[in-house]
Amino acid sequence: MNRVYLHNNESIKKIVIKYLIGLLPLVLYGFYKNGILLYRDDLVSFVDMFNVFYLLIISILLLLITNFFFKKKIFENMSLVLVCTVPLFMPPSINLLVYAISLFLSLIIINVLPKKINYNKIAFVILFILIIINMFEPLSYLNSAEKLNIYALNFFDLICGRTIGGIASSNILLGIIVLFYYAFFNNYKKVIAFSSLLAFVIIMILINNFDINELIASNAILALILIAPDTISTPAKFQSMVIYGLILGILTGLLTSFISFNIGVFIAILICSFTTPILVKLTEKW
Amino acid sequence: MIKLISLKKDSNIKVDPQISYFLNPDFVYIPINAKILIQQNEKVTKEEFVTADLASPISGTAIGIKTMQEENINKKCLVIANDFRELSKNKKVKKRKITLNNIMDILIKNNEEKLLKKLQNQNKFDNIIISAINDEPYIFNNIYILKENIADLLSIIDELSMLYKSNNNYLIVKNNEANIINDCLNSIGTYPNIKLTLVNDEYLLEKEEFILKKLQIINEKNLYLDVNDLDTLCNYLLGKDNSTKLITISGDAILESKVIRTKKNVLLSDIIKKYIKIIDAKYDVIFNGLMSGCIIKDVDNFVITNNINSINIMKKKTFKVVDCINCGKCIEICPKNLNPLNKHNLEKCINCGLCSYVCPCYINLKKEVKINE
Repeated sequence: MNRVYLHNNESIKKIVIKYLIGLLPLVLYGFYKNGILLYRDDLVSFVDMFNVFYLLIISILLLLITNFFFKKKIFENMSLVLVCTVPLFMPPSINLLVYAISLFLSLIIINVLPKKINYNKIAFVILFILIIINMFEPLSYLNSAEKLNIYALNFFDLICGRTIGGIASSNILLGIIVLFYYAFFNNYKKVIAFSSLLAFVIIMILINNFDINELIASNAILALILIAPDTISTPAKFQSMVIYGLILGILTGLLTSFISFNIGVFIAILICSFTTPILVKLTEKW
Repeated sequence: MIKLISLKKDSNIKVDPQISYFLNPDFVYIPINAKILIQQNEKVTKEEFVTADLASPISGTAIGIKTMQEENINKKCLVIANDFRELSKNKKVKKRKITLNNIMDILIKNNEEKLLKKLQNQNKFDNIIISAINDEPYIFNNIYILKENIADLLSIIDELSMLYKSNNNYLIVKNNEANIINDCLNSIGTYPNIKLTLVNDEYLLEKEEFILKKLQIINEKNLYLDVNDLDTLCNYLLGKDNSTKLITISGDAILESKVIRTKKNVLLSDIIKKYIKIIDAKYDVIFNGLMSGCIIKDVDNFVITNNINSINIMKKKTFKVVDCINCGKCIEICPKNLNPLNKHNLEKCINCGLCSYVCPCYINLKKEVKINE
């Protein structure tokens, strides 16, 4: 048998663990912002303080259940990364039961859909859950304090995480640190992240007439860092990745500005992921 | 500039510093690729051509034909029983004067096609590069040849440089081969025109294209030989015996790795019985490297032909292959800028195995590439 007998240290398990380590600071900040701070101001109960952890635990349990039914093992693919990334982008005041049911349904759908269809699973699951949530109550990314508008925040506060966003996806500064961690230490398509962020920033500055505050769409920035470079649904060749990232960044800027500030990015990522096979074919001979 | 990588190696695999010798096999097996020149039961002398393209490494009697394994392919082989007398019809050849014509005569007479291709119709080279590197992990042939024969080899390089009027002569050695560097430094002083060039232990530097890029002489007229080729030429020119070859037998399933000078066309199983102690019950035997080699299907009938340079006896491994995650590591690492994922331009593949080496899904990309050629 003609097989290479040597192998480097990389494996799916190590890649997944490194991804999860990168998410930790965001989760901890989310716990601080949407847990500790709100509890301190008597805006949430002690039990509700730990919402972000409940979401993660529910997600992992549901993954184990669906893996059992579909006979898959947890470190054989990137599904653990999927279920740990999705909760970060959920609204702070999400109903846990609705979240659990909609996540379970979406996990079944992605296991049943044919593998030939190329799409970003994380963006799909997030959109699916948000659509279902929206059926029960209007979608809002404001936490209890933001609804009351009781804080006076400057630009630096907003960059450091006090902006409106998902339960653990509001800290742009931490997101950029995570981006560099992934770029240097992991199996991560950094070209897509950097090119999409660059295109997004430029488009937002142009559309919003150089208004810097409009740029702080934390969901979009964190999604371009954590979700857009999904290995499976994106091109693998350098030139294809650059083009993909630029198109994604532009589309994100347009959808975020004109459709929805908080979920435009997920729609953009999903649309771009459908175009990956076409892009790969066009750039095949470059 | 292509970025080369160092392969992950097991530091517990150590090789015996002394060469072992397997020069008295009971039988040799000459693959029949061309017309047979002798009859059954006919006496054969050492270095006598028994087929149109291959000479016998021993003297003895041709006892028949048997199907054996040549590089995992069933091949009919002429079996010669050893009389252990090392009789040779060739007159004892004295050292020949090194001229272009003499070199060509020797190479044509001995069917050395690889060397002929490099040297034919050439009378000048800008650079002569002699590589003592073995890319594949746990293989030490070139270093041991250099250690065994350093004086003669340096002398031949010097003579070739005068013959081909080369501007630069490089002897390439890995910078982690401390012993041979020491030996080289002791001898090389006599030859100021030969540069001892140390390179990192990076995979693919054994290949001509990559070492020339590393030395930044790719656009010049270069003669690239590895130490094994040079040793063959040296033996012809100095009238020495060319009926033996060096092979490395190494691995983590054996007690001690060895470099063995053996007669050509012997059975691998005979060498293993004599020299190798296998310590693991479950093992794979791989020939010609862990990156670009193959697992041997039938070890008992495997013949060590001229193309076999190494045998690795490794603990059996099971690779848990999962679906591709499209990470692109195989594209990034490919030294020929190929894309194993979309199987484009695969005729350029050099079989280095790096795509499989880096794949986190343990997919045997080398096999995928070869099937689609």
